[in-house]
Amino acid sequence: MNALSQALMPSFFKEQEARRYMDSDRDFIDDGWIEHLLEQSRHPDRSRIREILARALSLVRLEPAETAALLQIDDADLWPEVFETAREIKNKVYGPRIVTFAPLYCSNLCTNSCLYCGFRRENGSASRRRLSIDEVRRETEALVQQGHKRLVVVYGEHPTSSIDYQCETIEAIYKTRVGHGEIRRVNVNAAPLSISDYRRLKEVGIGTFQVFQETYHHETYRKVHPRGKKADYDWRLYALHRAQEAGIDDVAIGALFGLYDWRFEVIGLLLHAIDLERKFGGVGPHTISFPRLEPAAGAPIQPGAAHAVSDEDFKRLVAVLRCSVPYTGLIITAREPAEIRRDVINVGCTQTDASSRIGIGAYAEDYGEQQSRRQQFMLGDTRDLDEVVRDLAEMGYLTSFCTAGYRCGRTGVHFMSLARSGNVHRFCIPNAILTFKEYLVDFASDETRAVGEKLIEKHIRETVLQPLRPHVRKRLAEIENGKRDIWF
Amino acid sequence: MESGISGFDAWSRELGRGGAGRDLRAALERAAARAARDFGARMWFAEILGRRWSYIAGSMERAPAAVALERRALSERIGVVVEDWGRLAGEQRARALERLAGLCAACAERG
Ligand code: SF4
Repeated sequence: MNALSQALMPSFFKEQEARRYMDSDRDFIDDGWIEHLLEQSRHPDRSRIREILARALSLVRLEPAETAALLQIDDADLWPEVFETAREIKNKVYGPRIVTFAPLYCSNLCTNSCLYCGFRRENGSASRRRLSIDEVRRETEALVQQGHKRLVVVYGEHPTSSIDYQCETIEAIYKTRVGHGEIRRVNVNAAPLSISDYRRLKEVGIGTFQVFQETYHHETYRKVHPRGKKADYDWRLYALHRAQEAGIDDVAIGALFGLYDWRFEVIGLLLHAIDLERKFGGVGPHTISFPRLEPAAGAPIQPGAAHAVSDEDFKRLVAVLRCSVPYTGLIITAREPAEIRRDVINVGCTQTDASSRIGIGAYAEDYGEQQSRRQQFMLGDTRDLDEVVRDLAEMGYLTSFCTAGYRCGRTGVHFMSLARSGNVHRFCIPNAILTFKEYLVDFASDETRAVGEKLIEKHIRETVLQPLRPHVRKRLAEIENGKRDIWF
Repeated sequence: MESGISGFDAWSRELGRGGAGRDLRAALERAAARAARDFGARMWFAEILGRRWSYIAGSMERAPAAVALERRALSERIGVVVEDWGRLAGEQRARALERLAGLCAACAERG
């Protein structure tokens, strides 16, 4: 192959890889159609909303027209019914547990220019760094010592965050152990990859691969991503189709709320989920994230612009998502302050992060206050893991560090089939209890342990299926006696 | 040696023939379906990727009271998770695992 064709190869493949999933050469986001749908759905009547909520309670995925009607509710009396439905769906599908993780930023070098981000290449005041493998190990040790079992590793889009670097860092994380502690699942948040690079990531045993579209609205997307690889909307839109094709069957989508109309973004997320389901045997996204725009040093776009999402609308969008995609996890992060997190956890969130530090090297260096020059944006909740676990326990939630599913093949289509047949309760709640117990024994403060032990007792009596109770008690005793990593 | 469990010997013999030209996924799907039908075992298969076991084929819904999963590697790449051995006991379980490992090897050889 000559030098010219070699040089052309990557973009040719990129083009092919971006377009191969399109129907009639168009992507699945038709802006005009979404705007029209939302317009048509204005002022829905009460009986239609109640019909939709009843259908949502039967745990089916809603159609875009139904979701649009929920988004357009303008009768204030109806929102409490939506919240109640969302709460019920959450309890039916997931029970009283919140999966907890921590983010680990490996690099903040980035070639993109996203107007809302503190790591954009034009921001000369950001202090830039890529962690060495030793530093990644030290960060991991610090997280393991707090009790974390699940991480999401984050990389900027830059040649130094190559697929080799990503694989090496993930392998280093998996190998790190401190006493009883270890990281058992590494999820990845990185730039879209080619199918061959996804295959490499798959080999190192990642959990979920997440790519957020940021905004589904084409024109806004173009405006806020003026340069760099990220300017290619379709390459990003189909990132998770490629991941699925490469065999990564846990993928996660998200949008950055505040860039465009929140109702439009919710429909965009739903259409994304539907397209994945349609093309990959019914397997939609494993989780959805919905971060709100936060202040970021050196970013031209700051919160408070035209499409800012109020706290009230934020809660609404979470509840509507919960009703629309009952089997997809919803992630609320430490971008949001504690009181907002509490509120939206009750209407449908299933995962959250805790003790998050998003500066590069921030866990091992433990520099206390947030430093805007080192962070992509500012966090709203910097409480440590123990405090978050206790807070959740006081709300009645078990903090789950469970990673059993992806270590015994309950992934992708298998997980969806278990969830749809109502079987998640059988093992997820017992496993949440077991990993919660491990945390209480190994890492919790006395105060948290006291609250946690009471909660475990309550859920064994009230939530765990009767035939499983003796088995749960037996395993809890084994944990007290030093055994670890046991699951159903 | 016949096991005395109806269905197990036929299952075993079929696996011994290396999945009769099926690709690995189809062969494992059939092995799991026949194990469920013939001797009440429930199992699924996964690709082993470091810590991750990624579902490939087999039983999708969980028996109501299963409490102990048995997870075994059949080759470097393929593992089986058994949630219920059905009517198979000690020695037959070991034979079943051997047969499944043989099936994986035969499919791998065929590519
Ligand atoms: S949002 Fe991501 S891609 Fe965009 S500038 Fe920031 S780090 Fe880079």
